[in-house]
Amino acid sequence: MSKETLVSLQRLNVVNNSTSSIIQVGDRDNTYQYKQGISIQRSKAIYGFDEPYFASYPMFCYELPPLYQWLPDGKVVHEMYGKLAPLPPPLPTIEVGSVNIITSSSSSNIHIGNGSKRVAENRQKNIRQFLDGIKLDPSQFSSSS
Amino acid sequence: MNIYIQQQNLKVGNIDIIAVSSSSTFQIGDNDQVILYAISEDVPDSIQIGPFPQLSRGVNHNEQRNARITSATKRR
Repeated sequence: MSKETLVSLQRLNVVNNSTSSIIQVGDRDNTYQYKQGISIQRSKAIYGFDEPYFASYPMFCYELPPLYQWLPDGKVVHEMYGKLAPLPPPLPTIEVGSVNIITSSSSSNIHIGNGSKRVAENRQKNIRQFLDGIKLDPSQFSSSS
Repeated sequence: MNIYIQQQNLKVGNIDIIAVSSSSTFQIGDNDQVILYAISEDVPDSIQIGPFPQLSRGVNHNEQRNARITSATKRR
């Protein structure tokens, strides 16, 4: 299908769309979606000291492996409908009835249309801290600056 | 992998999706190249290994399922 496509969409119902995710109706060229996050679950709520840095954890820094090297070589054959049958080539359209999606999150993508190249990246670290039995002094954690 | 692309109309009826999550994609249409990365570090307590509990799909579905289970037990 060519990059000039008519899209007719009757109904699109998305309840929640969050954290670097996209809803698009229509064509698109290049996309790079990136999301990184640290979530800390503590047994006790404490405030007044530094937030964690992404640079402290190597999983936010190292380079991603190139995935395309694992794909074998293939060929792409474009076939026009008008060449197969002696009919005038129809206008390339996408017709969608109804789409119901409850949630899309964390650099996910809802796209009705054509795209070229897409990379989505999501790095998430979850930490649990158990602070039972530790005496917390806010002045101990406050930064010197 | 060989791909045959035909320039035709693309018609889709109805689609119901609960969640599109963590660098996943839902597309109606064509694309040249898709690379999706998801890196997650989590505590070992949060790892769930199947079988996962099935989400209930409403009263009618459960009734049908219960009827199926009871009929299976009667056969025994």
